[in-house]
Amino acid sequence: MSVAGPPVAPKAGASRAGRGGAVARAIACAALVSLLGAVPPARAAGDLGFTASVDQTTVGLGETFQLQVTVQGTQTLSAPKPELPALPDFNLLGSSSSQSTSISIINGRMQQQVSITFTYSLSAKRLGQLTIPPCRLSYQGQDYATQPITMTVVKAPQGQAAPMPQATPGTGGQVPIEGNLLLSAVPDRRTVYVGEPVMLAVSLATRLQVTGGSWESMPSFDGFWVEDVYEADRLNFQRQTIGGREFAVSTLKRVALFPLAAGDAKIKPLAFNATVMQGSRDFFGMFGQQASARVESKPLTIHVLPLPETGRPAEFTGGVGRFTMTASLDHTTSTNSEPVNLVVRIAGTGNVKLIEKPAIAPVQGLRILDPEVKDDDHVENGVVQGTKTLRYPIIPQADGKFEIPPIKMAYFDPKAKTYRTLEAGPLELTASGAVSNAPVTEASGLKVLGTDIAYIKSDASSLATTPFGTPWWPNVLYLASLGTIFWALWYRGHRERLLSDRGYARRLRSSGLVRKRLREAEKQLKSRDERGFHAALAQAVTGYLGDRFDLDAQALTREQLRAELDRRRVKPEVAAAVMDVLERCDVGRFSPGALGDHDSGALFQRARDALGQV
Amino acid sequence: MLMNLLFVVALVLPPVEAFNHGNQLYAQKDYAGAAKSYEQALQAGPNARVYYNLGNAMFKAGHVGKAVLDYRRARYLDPRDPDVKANLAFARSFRVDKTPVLPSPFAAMMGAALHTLSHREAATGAAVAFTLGALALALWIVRRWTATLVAAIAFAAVSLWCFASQQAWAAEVAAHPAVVIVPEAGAGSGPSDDAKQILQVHDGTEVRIRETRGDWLLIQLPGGAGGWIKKDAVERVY
Repeated sequence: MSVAGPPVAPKAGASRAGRGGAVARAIACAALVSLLGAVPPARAAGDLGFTASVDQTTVGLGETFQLQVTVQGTQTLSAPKPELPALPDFNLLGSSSSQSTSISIINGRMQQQVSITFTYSLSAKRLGQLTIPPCRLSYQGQDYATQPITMTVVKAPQGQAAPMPQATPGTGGQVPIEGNLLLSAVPDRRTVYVGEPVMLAVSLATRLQVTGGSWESMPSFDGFWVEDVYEADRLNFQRQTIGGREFAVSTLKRVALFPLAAGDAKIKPLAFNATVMQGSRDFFGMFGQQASARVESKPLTIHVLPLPETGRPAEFTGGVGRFTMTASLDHTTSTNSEPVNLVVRIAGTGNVKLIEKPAIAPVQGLRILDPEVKDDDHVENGVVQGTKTLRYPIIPQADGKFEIPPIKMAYFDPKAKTYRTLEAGPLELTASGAVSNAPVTEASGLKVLGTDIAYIKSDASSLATTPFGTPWWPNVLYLASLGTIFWALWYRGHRERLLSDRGYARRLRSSGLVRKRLREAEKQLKSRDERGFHAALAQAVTGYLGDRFDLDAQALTREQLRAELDRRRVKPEVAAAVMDVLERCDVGRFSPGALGDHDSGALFQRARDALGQV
Repeated sequence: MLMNLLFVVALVLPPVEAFNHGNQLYAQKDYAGAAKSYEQALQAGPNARVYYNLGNAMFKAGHVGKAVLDYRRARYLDPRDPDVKANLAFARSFRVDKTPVLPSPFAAMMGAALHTLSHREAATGAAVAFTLGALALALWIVRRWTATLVAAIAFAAVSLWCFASQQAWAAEVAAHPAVVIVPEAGAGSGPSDDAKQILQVHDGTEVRIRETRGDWLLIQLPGGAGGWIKKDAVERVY
């Protein structure tokens, strides 16, 4: 923590010449420059207002009151600082200044009204009628003075402080740090139960001018759960009397400490480094010297009582204080296993954050998940208050109407020194279309205790090995299948051509027929039937040619046959051979004996070769 | 001669003795011993049942990675065994590294459907159905019997399905899957000991091997992250 910045409040009595004075001085300088340069003097002079006032005319002895001196003018940014008269009957405790500007446009001309107020904190030194003499201000050759103010000083009421020591401006004394700068840590009680908060206020009390400071180390509180309540970002001094002496006191820190365990809990001293203004006698702090002063609080011991063992309910979840509990469902129906939120709200004073979630009894067919927890606490009237909101998502796992049994939570009431049990509910929930993935086994009284891998297999009868990878023979099957399809396509085409193409059919038939006829001729040859052989051979040749070229060969003359063979591009020597065979056959048929045995065999061979070449 | 034959038979058939011995040791909770025995049984050749038992022994002995490896091999050989599937899922849930990318529900369903048949069954089925379909088609071409056309279409569909399944397995094998079998291993940005460590994988994490270079493998996780890892840290599934 660092306390810095303009630290002195208007009432801060310990400050003799704070930064407020410095600010006023700076403003005054700026005003002087602007007045010399830009502002028509006569006009500004004529518009200057200068007044003094006090917030109360009757004060107690030593009581602080405010003297306000205001300088007002148009256009001017500021005015020179007023001269405070000698005040022998008063202590000057501090000063500050404030400035306000208002702009108005009248008849198209802008007018600026500036007022600077210097506030001085004073206290009277003696009883009776005292007079604050006029304050004076010299500006543009003109003198201004305020009216004198008469103060009535009466005896201070009971409990009011004695007057401040003579460590005021003008006396020139150095105030020793020892005894005039204190750090106090004050618990609101010293005996508490475990979990019952102790409010600890840490404050800085001073009779010096303290302008800032910081913690030597972050305060730590072992054995406590700490909730920060207040952390000063600036010193804000209040007057307070300690041991008959008046101090300026600023609260630095306020924490709520929740003891975590029974026994004597020690709070270690806290250390603060304060920045102190020393040695100034000048009102505006011109010659002030800053010094750092270390101050330490006294160690504290908090006696922490254990929570009583006797009478502790099973539902106790660590709450210490005073609480109320409510429970509600955000929806009372659920379709298709849509989650429903059970909201449990625990509110009250005490260690709200440290309360553990209350147990919710399992409900058959409902899956109640762990809650989402939200804490919200604050301090009001020195008491830690808060709300703990627990949001339990509930997923219905079966259809039907469910009753969530009353939710119970017990806490300890340190004031009454007893345990108290809270109850909320029961609540009802209707579910439909739930995904029934709830383990049925649990419903039938069985219990799933855990999961493990399935056991090993013991059947050794089928331990044939299966190699990794795939076998080779499917590839053969694929090829064979494709072959089958192509064969089928060819066969189909062939069959259709046989039916539609006579020449094709005859051509296909020819080789079979010619073989048959040649065999016939061979038979004749073997039975030495010369005539029959030649006739059969001639028929075989003409028949083959007829089938092969789709001709009516029997009806053709030899010349026509020869022409057809040429037309079909049969080789001339083959055609000649064929014609020669036919010629010889004719001779053999019609004049047997003209040819010898030897010739018949050779002729058969020639006919065969010739037909093979066709 | 007879001795020779017996020797060959003993080598080819999975040694039932080793299998039964392993089962005995497993029942006595000697998981390391059981694993050794099952591995011996596997020397004759792969068998789904033995791989399954070996996976169990490995899991019980605390080797999650080895268990995942053996269950995956068992699943490759016998993908319809519910025990294999259950134990594989169970062993996977014990891994340190969680899969960064989960397949979409549709892809998971398709994957499960395509892995109903084993790789071998799919390959065989595809070929046989194709042959039968081809015969039916040939018969229809020749004879034009409607029944044969219907049969041909039906066989074609079966064959196509089996073929898709076969391709799915082939793709899986071609991805060179491997499993991390050491408790923890670091993967570097290059195939050397002094490469920058870019990834840390743990026992049971399933990776694919993208490249092999000497003693180093470039592995890739399902999410795409990868790195070079020592050869001994992972074992190939197939």
